[in-house]
Amino acid sequence: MKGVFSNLLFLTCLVQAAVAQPYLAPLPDIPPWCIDSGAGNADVSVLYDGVLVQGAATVRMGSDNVFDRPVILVEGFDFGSGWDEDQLGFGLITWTRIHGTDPLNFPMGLDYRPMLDDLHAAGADLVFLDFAEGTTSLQSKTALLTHVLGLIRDHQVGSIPGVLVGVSMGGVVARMALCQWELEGSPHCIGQYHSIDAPHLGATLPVSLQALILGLSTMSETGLSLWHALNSSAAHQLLQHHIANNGMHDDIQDVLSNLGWPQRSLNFNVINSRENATAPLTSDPLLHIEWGLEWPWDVTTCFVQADRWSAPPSQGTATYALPGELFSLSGMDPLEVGVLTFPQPMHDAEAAAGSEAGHIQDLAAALMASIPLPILHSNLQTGATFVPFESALGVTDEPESPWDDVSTATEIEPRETHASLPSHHRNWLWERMHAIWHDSEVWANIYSAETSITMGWQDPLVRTLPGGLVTQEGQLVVGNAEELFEVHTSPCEGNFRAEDGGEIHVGLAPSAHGILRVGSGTSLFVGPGGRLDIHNGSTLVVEPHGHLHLEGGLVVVHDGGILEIQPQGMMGASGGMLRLDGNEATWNMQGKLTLTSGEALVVDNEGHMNCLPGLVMHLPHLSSCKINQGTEGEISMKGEMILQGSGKFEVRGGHVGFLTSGTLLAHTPTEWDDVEFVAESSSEIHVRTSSTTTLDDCELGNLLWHHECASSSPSLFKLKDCQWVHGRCAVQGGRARLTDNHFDHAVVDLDSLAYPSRLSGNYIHAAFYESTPSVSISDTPHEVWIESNRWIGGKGLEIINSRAIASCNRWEQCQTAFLMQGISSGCFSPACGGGNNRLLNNGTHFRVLNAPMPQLDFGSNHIGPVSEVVVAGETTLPFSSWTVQGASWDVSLLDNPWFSPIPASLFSNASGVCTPVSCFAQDIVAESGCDDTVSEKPLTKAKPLQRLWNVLGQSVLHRRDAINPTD
Amino acid sequence: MKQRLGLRAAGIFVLACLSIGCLPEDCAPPSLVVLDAFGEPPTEGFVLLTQSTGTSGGNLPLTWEVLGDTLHWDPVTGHVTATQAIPPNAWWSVHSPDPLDRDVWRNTRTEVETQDTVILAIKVPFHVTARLHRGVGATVSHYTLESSSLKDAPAVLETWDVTTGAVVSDGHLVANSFPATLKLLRHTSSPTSTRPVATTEVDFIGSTTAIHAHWSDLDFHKELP
Repeated sequence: MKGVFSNLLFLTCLVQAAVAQPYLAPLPDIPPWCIDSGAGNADVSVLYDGVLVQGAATVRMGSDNVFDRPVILVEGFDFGSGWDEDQLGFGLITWTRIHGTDPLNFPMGLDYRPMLDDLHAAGADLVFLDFAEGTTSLQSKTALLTHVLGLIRDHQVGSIPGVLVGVSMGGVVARMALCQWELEGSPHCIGQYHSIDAPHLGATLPVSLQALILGLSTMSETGLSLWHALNSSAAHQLLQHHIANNGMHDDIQDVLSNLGWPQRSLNFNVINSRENATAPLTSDPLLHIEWGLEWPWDVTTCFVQADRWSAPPSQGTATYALPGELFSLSGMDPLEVGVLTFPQPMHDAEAAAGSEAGHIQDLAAALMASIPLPILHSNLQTGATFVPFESALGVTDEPESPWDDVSTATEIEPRETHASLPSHHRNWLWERMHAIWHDSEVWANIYSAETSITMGWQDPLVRTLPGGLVTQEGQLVVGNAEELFEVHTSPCEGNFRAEDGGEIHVGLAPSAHGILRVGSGTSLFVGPGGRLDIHNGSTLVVEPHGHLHLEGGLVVVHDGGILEIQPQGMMGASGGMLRLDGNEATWNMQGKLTLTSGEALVVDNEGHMNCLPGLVMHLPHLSSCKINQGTEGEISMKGEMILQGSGKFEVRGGHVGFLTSGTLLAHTPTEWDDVEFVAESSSEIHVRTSSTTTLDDCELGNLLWHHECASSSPSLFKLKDCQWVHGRCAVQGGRARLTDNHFDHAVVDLDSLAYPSRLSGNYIHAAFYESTPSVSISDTPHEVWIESNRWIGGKGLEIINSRAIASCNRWEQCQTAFLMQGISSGCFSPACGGGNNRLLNNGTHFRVLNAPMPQLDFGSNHIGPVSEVVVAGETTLPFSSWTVQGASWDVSLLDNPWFSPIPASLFSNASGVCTPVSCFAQDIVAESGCDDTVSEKPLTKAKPLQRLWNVLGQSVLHRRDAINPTD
Repeated sequence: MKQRLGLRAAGIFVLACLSIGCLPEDCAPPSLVVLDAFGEPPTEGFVLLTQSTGTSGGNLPLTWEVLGDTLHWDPVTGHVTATQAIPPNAWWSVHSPDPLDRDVWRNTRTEVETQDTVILAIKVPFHVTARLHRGVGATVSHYTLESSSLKDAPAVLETWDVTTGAVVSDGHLVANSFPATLKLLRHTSSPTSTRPVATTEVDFIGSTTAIHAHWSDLDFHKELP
């Protein structure tokens, strides 16, 4: 040890003199947003959560003196505070220091300065955001950055996207700001996001060191300010293991996880470490210093120690015996002795692969400088990890990396100082920043074939599509034969149009592949005569708040091509056609499709339309979306699809498949013709309709369809010539018209139907043991016409508090053919419009449950063989006997042809107690069957008098011959 | 669990303050020798004598203050001497641009009490190509590129899992002394062995110092010992 000096001597010898600076900081320029006001103040502020967040946005204009290429540099955690006029900034990280003026306290400035000068020379306009409170929360900082980005966007000249560089915590702030901006759907106009060793998953600070800072907090102002920094919102949010854990770290991780990553920018990451760059730490304490009296006394008078991590249940411990007023230098204070212990993390974060910082050395040096005693012993392990590699990478279990490129530390120097920018990082960054200005050079609009452009082939390889127009046989091609060349529309607002012979090709047959991403705030228009082709192996992606608009043009998705409308992506159509050409052409629809009123969008679908969660189609008045699918086209419902408006949705041909959780909610009129529906699961309703719905010649398998509308505006549910195998067809509140369908193990549930409604010509088959009625009509006071239907097996027709007029129907092999409940009316007699029904080989032909009896008199109904009874149940009518006149009977049911008892198990509960009701057949007639002409449909509506058809097309001819008066 | 005892130790501190004078030989201003990795003083740079602000950190805790003027080393010997007395726990802070890339600064802080020499490392760029094809002998598992010097332990710069074809590597090695050596090593499995394929040494020759090597590891190619 060399000599030591008394404090007095030191203080008298200390001369503060001018210190050499490798650089002088450039003077800031007046921010463009202050020019109008004539002020040169860099102050910026915003209210966040009721609190004013302040900072300085200091600007250095590029050499061209035009504010057209903004590069925003966002500072990180800064535990210094207060404005320093000399340093032109708040706290430690200031305008002058980032320019390399203080190599002692901010040596990283020497790394940054060359890049800042290069940016200036290239015309880039630096905006340095310096937060007044460097330890405030991520959300507060994000609010201020968002405000500054808004100022920049509003005052930028031209539309070249900006570059946002976030250093350390600033990288997380920048990420949050961009994500929130994108979430709101407006273009942030940032083309590149650079994260400089940002602790996306948090940083680490040894528990023992935190404990030591807590101990020092009562001994000095410096210790207190350190503890304030450690106990700040930012530190709580960022430290993975805080000794005063209050849950803020987990909360902010949830927030970040939900926000995701910027999608509209190219994302670059500088990491000051490598995946295997673990810290070379031993089990010795991280910090151990002893002070005392040297020879001849050899007495240790005070000491401090911060332990190294050891596996739990060991705890992180700081031990010290220090002067009570540590930095007072009075030498007259009591010793403070402390042993502080806190739980350790489960893993050794101190030695994890990552970058290092100078905390331990700086803290040790501060302690050494503050205790006026010789140091007897000191041992430091300064290489503890600060930002783990995994955290800087920021990726947990996302399938795709959010980074377009990553620069890590070199193999030979795998652990760099946190947030430093050695030349290999700096050169890497510079190359990428420079590229944005290449990409953003606005090339001329394409007005002819000669001026066509192939992005991905022509130099420079521009990856940003600015606003523009392609017309008159000009072509814009996005693609490359060597790689899947990806192009984004500008992150700034802008439209690109193809019209009047102009074409946009994403990929190009036979071998060029590309991806074109239409991002937030930008639009791709395909106008009259314009065309957009998406070729094999290529994709057009409309990202959230991006817009694809057909204005009479043509969009063709070729075999193997993909059109993808992402959640909150928008597709509009005012005329025009979309063609999915080939079985492997795909349209992934997850955003919103909006048609213009009075216009039609025609979709020729030979491929796959995938309806994904979030899909909404808005079809305004008089608009229509017609999907022609031929025999091969397929619509796959993979989430909820919503149809809104009063326009019409039509599908012809092809397949519609409902995967698990796939549903369709249609508020618009829909028309389905020759479509095959198949549902994977039968646990929930697949289709809900409320407006006029027509299915013609369709096949439905396992489908649950629910048509429901208000009784005040009953809409028609029309099902014709369809085959429905398994599933359920439910109509509630509308008019039902089910004609000539085949239901096989499919249930028809009709509730509160409006007039007129009818079932005719349907074939309804169910297993004999089926417990649910094949057709159920409930709460329908208006009569429902049931005509020429045929039930085989199951429970037949059930009416509950409803009226049904049955003619020419046939029930065979049912448990119960006809079931009445409540205040119902079942008409099988010409007197009320029914008759000519046939009931054969059922368990019970008629069953009543607290209901009147069906009207059968003189209905020429044929009561065929029965395995149990002809009639059963409890009637509300006060009968002791019930006689059926004018029916034909199977001889096995009768004793004689004039007046015969029939098998029955009928009771009357009209008097409050059940009394048996005897049942008889009288005036038997010969079986006549149903007059075929009765159930025949009208030839034309122009000849209504030939057969006296009612409004449902049902013959009421036999009504004129009715002779059996009603009861 | 925090335990805190307040003990009066004024006597100890009075004793301490009385005892911390200095012996005559200790009072000589301290000195430092700054050398570049090639053994001579750097042509540019400066030294600051510094101390942690400790008590006077104010709004900037854990920062450093400069003690006195900026110091410059003797361009021939690299010797730099403090111009005034300094307190205990002072540090040398040495700053010098890399002679091969002036935009890269070497910043080193070292305790005055314990260090009297600072050697600044130099990042030497290299460009290496190698043609690899060995079908004779033990199976090659991988190749590594390694740097070393008298003062630098061997460090792996790159690893290639490919065992045939051409490989290219651009980067920097960090040299604390010259000559610096760059080696291509061949690693074999069954039997496990590591053998040098090619070696290139570089001396510092000024701002153009770099390594450009074109190596091959082909069948029947004569191996280096």
